[in-house]
Amino acid sequence: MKLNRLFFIAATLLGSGTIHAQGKGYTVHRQNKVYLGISGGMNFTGISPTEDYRVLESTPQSTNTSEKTYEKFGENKGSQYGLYMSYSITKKLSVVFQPNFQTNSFNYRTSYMWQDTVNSSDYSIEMMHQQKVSSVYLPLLARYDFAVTQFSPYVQGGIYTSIRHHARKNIYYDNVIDEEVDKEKADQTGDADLTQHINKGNFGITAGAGITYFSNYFAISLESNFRYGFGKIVNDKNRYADYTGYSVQYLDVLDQFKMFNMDIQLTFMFPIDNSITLGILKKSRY
Amino acid sequence: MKQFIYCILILVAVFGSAGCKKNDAKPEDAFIKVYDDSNGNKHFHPLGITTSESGDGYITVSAFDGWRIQIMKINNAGEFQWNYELPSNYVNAVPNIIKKNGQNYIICMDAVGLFTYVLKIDEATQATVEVSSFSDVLYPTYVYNSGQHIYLQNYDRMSFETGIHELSGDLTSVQNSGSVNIFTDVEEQIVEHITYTGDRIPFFISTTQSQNYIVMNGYYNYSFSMIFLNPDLSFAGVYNGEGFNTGATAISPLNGNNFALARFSYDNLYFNPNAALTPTTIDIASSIPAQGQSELDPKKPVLIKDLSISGTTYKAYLSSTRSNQLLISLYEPSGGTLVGKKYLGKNIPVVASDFIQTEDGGLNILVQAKIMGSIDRIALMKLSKEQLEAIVE
Repeated sequence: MKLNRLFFIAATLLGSGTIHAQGKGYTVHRQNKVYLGISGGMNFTGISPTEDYRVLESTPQSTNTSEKTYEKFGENKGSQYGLYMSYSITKKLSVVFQPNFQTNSFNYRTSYMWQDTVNSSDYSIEMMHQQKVSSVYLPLLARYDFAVTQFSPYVQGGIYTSIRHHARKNIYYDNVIDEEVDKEKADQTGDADLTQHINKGNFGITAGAGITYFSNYFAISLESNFRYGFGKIVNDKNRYADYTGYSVQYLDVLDQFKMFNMDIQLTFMFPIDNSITLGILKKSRY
Repeated sequence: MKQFIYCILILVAVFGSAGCKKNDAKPEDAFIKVYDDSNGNKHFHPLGITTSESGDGYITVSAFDGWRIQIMKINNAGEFQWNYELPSNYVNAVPNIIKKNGQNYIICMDAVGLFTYVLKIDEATQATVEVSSFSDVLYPTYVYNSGQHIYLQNYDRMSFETGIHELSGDLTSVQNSGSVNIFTDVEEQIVEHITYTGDRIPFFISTTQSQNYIVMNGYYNYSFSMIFLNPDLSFAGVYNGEGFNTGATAISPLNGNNFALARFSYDNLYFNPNAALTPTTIDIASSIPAQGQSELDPKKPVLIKDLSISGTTYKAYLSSTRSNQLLISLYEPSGGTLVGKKYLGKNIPVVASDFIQTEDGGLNILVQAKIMGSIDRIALMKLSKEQLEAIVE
């Protein structure tokens, strides 16, 4: 909720800034300028499974399928914060380097049932597996601004690499199979270290769009970026090493998959210049 | 400013290379598989694993519903192929699947007559074929193939004796028999053992490396003892237990009369990877020098086998900790020096049943896994060659 409020305030600022800028009629002189800044926001992660793995093997006497149901894109929330560096090659074209620390989450659900042939009291368990992977992302983007006014919409695209920092996992579970595990009421396991199950590096493409408000001493952007990673997320060699301790007891093993995510973030940036007066604003000729 | 861009490009390229690291793991390299059955009241107790007759996977033998028998075939990646539950008259499969002329056999018992059957596992029909039965051999408890002979251990409830029988090459007849007197009735313990209602008793048969003595772990003279027998199955010597509370748990032959040994004494477990035993002695088992293993659970099985890693053969002890982990301990065979340990699992009730080295240099460990804290199932844990090499590094 706090994050949402922040975005609202930023959007309001940007909106009022736009009106203010249009009123004064300034243009932004960015060529050969370097901007440094900080950014932060939230992200949503999606999973694209490529290989299915399971611990529980089906036999003619079994009814369990061991299938995982992944949570929808919007349910896998995370956050990120980082730095912003850009260099404007021309008035409208910039190179942006935006290193950030990002936490991505992805969840999936499994369920199992065994019959009690003696007491007619079947045993069921439904589990929500919650994973959080934290990584350092290093995106390198080309940014194109559509305007040289103080209020400037832009698009950007490029490549990124990421380095996994750590990963954790816990499982919420209840005893009713109803395609829902209420985290408020369900039991849960302890937090287990998943780090060694996740590959150290990944790489991919990123693209996004946003809007920036330039003032004389700072700029503020609201943007959204989409990232798609080409690398495998799970370490195949360690898949069954069971660093979490959940493999046998909770019949859990990670599938192989690729990860994509979309973020929404705010960036505060400052132009770097040797002169005392920055003078990035010039009176518009029109 | 160009330097600024170059620096960023170099940074991205360097870190990007980490993401491109090749990972060529295959599904059969390492895995954990638990074999399902929808009946939650069915409790499985795996007993042994061996290579399949066709060489394309593995055969496991397990007990379920107490003493009934299930045979299962899996492929090299641990994937289920087929299983077969034997008719209810065949019960109490004893540990060790016997491989003879490339075919697999199990020894089991008649549910009513308590006598012994030899059954051949027929992979083509996914069933078993009765090879022979021995009406005089009651309560079979263990079978062992020394390479030269096949020995069968049993308990004779009529004479209160532990018997040992040498089977013919085609497993159809008993060539030679011997026995030792217990002097007391241990049928209750035997029944609890074969029906899995009490503690499992570490029966075993082995030989010295030159096979000039046979070693049998069983009941003898009011105690649970390790008995040495001559090749004609006559008594040679014994390491007596203190009643039923101490004795040997597992052995594996080294050179001469030396063995890698594990023994128990009340609530403690002791290892000696190079124990010099005297086959003709009459001694007590607790006198065999050994190192205490306080973290290990003496109620759970200990398995000792040869394990070849990077061209060196080690004595591998597979045991269970009191905190529900499996522990592989590797000892250098000549000096008995501990070269490495590996813990498997984390606080999961897993009981080791058998292990076998795979053709790709890995290790298949057959275990009983208690999933969801209560459901006993057959499970297979495969360690890759690289994981084994990491133990001795």
